[in-house]
Formats: sequence, C-alpha cells, structure tokens
Amino acid sequence: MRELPRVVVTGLGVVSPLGTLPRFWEELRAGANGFVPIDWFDVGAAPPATVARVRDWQPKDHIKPAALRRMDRFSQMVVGACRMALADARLELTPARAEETGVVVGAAYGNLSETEAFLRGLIVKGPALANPMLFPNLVLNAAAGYVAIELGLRGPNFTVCRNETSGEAAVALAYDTIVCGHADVVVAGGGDEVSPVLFHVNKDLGTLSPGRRGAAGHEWSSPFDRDRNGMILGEGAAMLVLEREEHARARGAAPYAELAGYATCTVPSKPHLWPRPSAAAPRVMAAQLRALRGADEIDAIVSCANSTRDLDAFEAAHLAGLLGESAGRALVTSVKGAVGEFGGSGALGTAVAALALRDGLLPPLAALQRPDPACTLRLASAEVATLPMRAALVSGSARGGACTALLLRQP
Amino acid sequence: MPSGPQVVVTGLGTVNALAGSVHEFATALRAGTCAIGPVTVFDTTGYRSRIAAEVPHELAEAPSGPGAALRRRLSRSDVFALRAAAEALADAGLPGDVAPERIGLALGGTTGGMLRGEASLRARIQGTRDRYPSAAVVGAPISASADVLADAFDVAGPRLSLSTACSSSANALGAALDWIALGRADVVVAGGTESLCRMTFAGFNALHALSLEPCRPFDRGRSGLSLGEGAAILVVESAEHAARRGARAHAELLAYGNSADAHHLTAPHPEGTGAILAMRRALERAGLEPDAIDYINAHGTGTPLNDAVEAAAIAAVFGDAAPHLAVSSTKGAVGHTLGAAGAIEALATILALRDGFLPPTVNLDDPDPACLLDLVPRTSRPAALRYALSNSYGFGGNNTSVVLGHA
Amino acid sequence: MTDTQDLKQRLKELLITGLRLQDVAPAGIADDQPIFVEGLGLDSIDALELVVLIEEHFGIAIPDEEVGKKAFASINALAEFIAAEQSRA
Repeated sequence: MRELPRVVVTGLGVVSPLGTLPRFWEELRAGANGFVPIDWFDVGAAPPATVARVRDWQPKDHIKPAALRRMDRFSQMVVGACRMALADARLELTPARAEETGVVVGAAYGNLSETEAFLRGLIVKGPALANPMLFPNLVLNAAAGYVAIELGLRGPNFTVCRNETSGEAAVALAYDTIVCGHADVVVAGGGDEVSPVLFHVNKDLGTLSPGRRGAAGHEWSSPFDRDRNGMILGEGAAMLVLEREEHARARGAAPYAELAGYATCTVPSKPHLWPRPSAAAPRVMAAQLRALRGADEIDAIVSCANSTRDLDAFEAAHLAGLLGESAGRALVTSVKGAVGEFGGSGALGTAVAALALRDGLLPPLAALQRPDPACTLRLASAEVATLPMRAALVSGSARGGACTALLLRQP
Repeated sequence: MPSGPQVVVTGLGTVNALAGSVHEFATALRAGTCAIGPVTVFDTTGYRSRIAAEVPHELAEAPSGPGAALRRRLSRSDVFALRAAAEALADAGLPGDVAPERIGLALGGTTGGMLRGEASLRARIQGTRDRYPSAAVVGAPISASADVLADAFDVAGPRLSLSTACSSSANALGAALDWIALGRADVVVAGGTESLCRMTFAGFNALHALSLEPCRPFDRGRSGLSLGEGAAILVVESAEHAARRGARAHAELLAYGNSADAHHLTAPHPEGTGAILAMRRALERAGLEPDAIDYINAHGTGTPLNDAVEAAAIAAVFGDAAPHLAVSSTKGAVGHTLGAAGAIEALATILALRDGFLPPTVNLDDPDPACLLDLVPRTSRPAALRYALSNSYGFGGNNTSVVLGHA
Repeated sequence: MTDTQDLKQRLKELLITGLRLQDVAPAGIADDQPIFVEGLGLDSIDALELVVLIEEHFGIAIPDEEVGKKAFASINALAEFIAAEQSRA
C-alpha cells in the first residue's frame, strides 16, 4: 500500500471537572482532582456519593443563547469543546473549508439525563404528554449534529459508542476518515455526562469505589494502587482538531503532535465485563504499532487504568506485553484519578498526551500511595516528570473487550 | 487514497418484520408484502398511532448456538443481531481459517437494549424495585450488541458501534469499507440492529411523525412514517481475499459518501444540500458518473418533508435522467428500522442487483407529482441492474449514500 | 391583579420555563407579540411542546394545527382561548 498522508493535532478543546484549557492542564499537573459530593440528586444513605463534576464553565461564553435553548448539557459540553479546539487551532472556517471539515464524537451514553426525563414523563404522565422538545436530543449523535449546525461543518459526521473507549474509538475513526481522503480536517473526541441513572446503575453493578478503607464516606480513585477498590464516575468533553499535515502546513499551523496512527483489537470478554489478560491481544497490537512512525520511541503512556481491580490488572499486563522490552522505559500515567471514568475519558487522555509532547512533561498519578506490586510498569507516581518526550501512547480498553492504542509523536 | 481494493459482500443475514432469513426477505420484497401491523411488544394505549413493522415473536427468541450462554442477558436487538450474524457468517463460510483478529465488526444502532431498560426504569419509579436488574443494564448501551457478537462469534479484530440515528448502519458499512482499504481487517462483519421501544415510539408520536395507517412513501397522501425493527448483517471483504478462500460475492461494495446538513436537528435542509453532497461524494469515490446508476433505494420514510426533499435532491444530482430513474423505498414493507435501516436497505439493494429486480414502493397508490421519479409503485419489476445507490438520512442532519454494484 | 392578567403572567412563565427561553423575563414578552413569528425564535417542535404544556397545566387539548395557530397567535390569544375553554367546561 502506498504511504498514507500524515495527520497532526493542531487544536485542543477541553470541558472537564478541572476546568477548561489552560486551567485543566495546570490543575492536572498540580495533582488536583475534580471529585465532589453529589448534592443535586438523591444517592441514598450509603456511599458511594462522589463524582467528578463539570461545574464552573459557562456554556453562554461559547454558544449563542438561541442555540443553547434546546441543547442538552452533554451536547453543550461537546459543542463548547469543539469551539475551543477550532479557536486553538486558529482554523478559519471558510465555506469551502467547512464543507471538508468533519466531526467524530465518541460517547458511551451521551444525554442520559434528558433520556431519563423523557421516559419519566412518558411513564408517569402517559404518551400524550411525552415531551416533543426533548426527543430530538435523545439520539446519541445529537451532540455531533449540534456541532455541525453551530459551526457550519458539512464534512463527514460520525458518532461512535464503545463503552469506556468511545473517545479513543472516535479519534481512531477520525484518523481513518482523514487518511482515506474523506476530509482534510476532523474535529474528534468524546464526552459523557454524569446522570442519576448512570450513577445508580454503576452503583448497583458494584463498579464504583465504595469508600476508602479507614475513611468512611470518602471514595477514591487511584489507578494502579495496591488498595484500589473501584472507579469514580466523571464527565466532560475533549475535542481535538485533527488535520492532514499538508493542510496544516499550508496554513502555517503549529501542531502539538503528529497522530502517527493506532493499533486495535478485541480481547475475548463477556459483554460488559472488564477484559481479562490475554496473550494474543498485546502481540496483535504490537505488530500493528511496529508499522507506525515513533513506535520505538514511546516515552510516555496515558493509560485507561481507572482504579477498578480488574481493568488496572488487565492494563498492567496488557501494556507490559505490548511494549515488551521497552516497558521499563516509558512513564505511565492515567487521568482517571483526577477526572474519573467516562466515555470520553480517552479523548481527554489524548489531549493530555498532546500537551505532554508539547511541554515535555507528564502529569502524575497524584492519588497513588502504594503501587500495586503486580504492576511492573514505570508509574508516574510522585510528581510531574520532565523528560524527553519523543512519542506518547494513549492506551484504552473497555468493558466488552475493545482495545485501542493511539500513537502520538513530536510533529 | 480514493481508490482502494475492490471490496465485495460475501455473506448476508437478516431478521425483520417480513422475514427470518435472506431468502424469505427476497421473496417478500418481490411480492410487495407489507409487514406493518398492530404493535404487541408493548402497550400502545394512548398513542395516536398503534402500528409498526414488528418482528414475529418466534424470531425474537434467543437462538440456540453461539451466544446462547448469554441468553438471559440478551436484549431484543441483541437477538436480532445474533440471528442475522449467524446467517451471514454461515453464508460466507466463516470463520473458516480466517484468524479471529483479522475479522472486524462495525455495527449501527440507536437504542440498544432500551426496551428492557424502560421496564426497569418503570419498576424503579413505581417502587416495585429499588435496584436496576443487572441483566437489563448490561444490555442497555448501544454498543452492547457489538459486544455480544464479538463474544458469540470470536471476533477479535477492530470493533465499532456507530450511532448516527437513521443512517447508523449505512455508516457502519462505510467504516467496514475503509478498514478493508487500510488493511485493518481481512473481513468485516458490518450491519445494524434495532428493536422497537417505547422511547422512539413515543418520541415520533409526540413529533406527530407517525402515520396512522401503514406508511406510504412518496404518495401524495403520505402522512408520516411507520416504525420497524430488525437487523441486517453483511460480510465484507476484499475481492482478492474472497477469491482466495473461494467465497461467492453477492455484490460489490464500491463506496460511501457522508455529509452533515449543518441546518437543523430534525428537519432536512429544504434544498437537500446535505443529501446532494452525500450522493455526489459517494459517486465520486466510486468513480462513477450519475448515469451509471440504475436504481436508488431511497431513504423514503413517508413523512411529507423527507420524501419531497429527497426527491428534489435526487433530481438535482441526476438531472434529466431523474424522471426515468428507478427509485423505491422499502419502508412501506419493513417500516423504518432506524439504526438498522441502512443495513436492511443495503441488503434489499444487493438482492435487487443480484437477483435482477426492482423492489417496489409498497403502499404507494398515488405518486406525488412533486416527486418526479420512477417510484416503482406497489409491484416489483424484473430489471438487470449494474450499479445502485442506497440513501440513508438521520436526525442530526446526517446523510449517507452507499454505492453497490452487481458482482 | 385581575384573573386575566394573572393568567397571562402564568402563561409567560410557562413559556419561559417550558421552552427554556434564555435571558427572557415575563415582562419582556408583550401581550400582543406573535409567539411563533420571529419574536422568540420558536419552531414547529416548540409548537408541539407548547401543546403538551397547555394540556398538562390546564387540561385543555389543542386538537389540530388550525386551533393551535389561532391560540398561539399571541399571549392575548392564548389567554382568551384558555379562558373560553375553561368557561365551557
């Protein structure tokens, strides 16, 4: 096959429990987290009762009031992140360029809060009083549709859904969309929203941290910790401007990083269970990675580890297998001890990898106290590590067993 | 890279209101049967419309064989997907000796296990349960059916669920095409699945978009859509790979084109600019001029606005040839299956190409003079077809056109 | 405040909360201002939502588009429509 066009990251937009950019990056480096007690819906008497919540951002600063009126909160975060990413990329959207600019959004659940509101109305009041205004927002691709409408983007428009790796899946699909020649520019990433129903479902499934031992009522999220006991739900949106390198160069853009490509596979897994360590998956993905520029220069890894017993154990074994002999060199972090777990967390992790490459530093696993002795990876435990950063891997694995590793390198 | 390898469809499978197999589906399409009738899967008291194209009960039962271990947890859309995938994989002679990691999976859908999710929410609201039952929760996400298929059929390659409303599974075919072109997989199991549920029924009902009688696409008196359900799965691979393992090609999958209207979340752009862009992109990537297209399987929902805008968009792309171009909608037969529609209609298009007939627009009695096309009313016709287009449009202003060809 | 003024105030509040009007106060909606022509930037989905809101809050059904068009002409028209329906009951 002839060589594929190169793809670069030229803009970032983040709406997170740690704020928007640049504050998100400062807070993450400082080891802060966005966890707050839930006080806007009933969580019952016993813990857990904590999530990472997007609080102090103003949708009005990014979206016109007329458009905000019917837009759900999840879509607002995605549209806001897109607008910020395009501004960051200094991409002028001429009509011709807007026609060749696509959107790919990844979300595990999307607008669950209005879905619940619509269904409650239907159940309690009956079909005649079901709200017509809410229904259009309930399709998972409402957010991507709003992005197209608000920004005038008429290129390929996709929404993907793959549990906790929805964000990685979206970035990967955007990469394919560009290298296959469907678009010059794709705004890609993901998001999700904490909603009562999602919280209760995860609580009932037992995936949430029930509280730290010896500190009743305080959940914690500490990826790769020996004493980790579950995840904390998070929310937010992260969108990246991906662009064909020639296109970016022609307009004088300064990329954060090159998106060199990705490796992906499916680990045999029961639906909705965390994957179990597999010998085949790292071998298959390592072979795919080796074909990419920068695969032998991975200095940093943004991992999907989310503080559950099973996923972190899987990820430790998976990364060790994937990197082989160079596993001891790359420094590993995860954002989920700071912003929790959600469908767009991998998109946020990709933004972190791009920022890490630009600044030559990796944010720490701030909550980590006692590294799991079963994990042989080099963990970014104590503080911000400054290091030569040639390439960074974003590793995502989810319930159901889908795995994607995105490779970013110096532009 | 506009020109990838030649890609073919080597396996077909479906479950829908008309049929429990591809053979039955082809027969029913030719016969012009309408499968729209009373809804029984939930209580429709209080809704304006009470009809849909519902899959017969015996086909909504979990099948024996692959996936049976999950029986208790399978949602209705999982069951449709499992049945359709089993048929398609057997038809394609898979897995054979294709390595699991070389088989990809791209599935479209919009509501996943919502039907059962609604029942759990009701139980919780009414206080009869204080927990969400895990069986209902596990099958709820839109991505669950892909998880189920991967587990049941040992698919270990790339995996994606696409959810772009009513164009979801057309876009799944697009992802499959690109994966083959990029060498990410040798074979991709692609399609879509959707089950009726109260949420979509109530939503379209609230928008006054449901027809009180079985929908009549492109009819002067059309008054809305009829919902449907089901799944279609296509096995997609390069012609070279198919030839090497001796698999028969039902049709060629040439290209897809996607665009966003960037206009309104539910209403199509009045001039159909997005639909035009999607058709033109698909034709350009297929390397075809409009006059190479012999048949279009339209989105054709039966709503006043969709059909008028789609007909105008087709006229804009095909110019003087449009009045003689065969264009039909299969939604009068199988209803609007939302996330599965793109795949079910691509399947209908493949059968038309393979078996040499034009599927009719069922329930079309009085063609809308504003839709100046050969709308194949009511009765199928024999026709030798070389290339065809399948259109799918969805909420969010999403437009996808897929180009298929005679093998 | 008369009953009519009271009803109009209630309708304006319903319009604002039910249709999520941004940065609009009840005082900012004139009694004779067209609800669906330009003015507030509403479309056909909002009209359907308003039908549901009127039925839910006043128990009054708006059977078809023709009735809706007249009733939704302005706050004045809507208040008159509701008052007439209520006196008929």
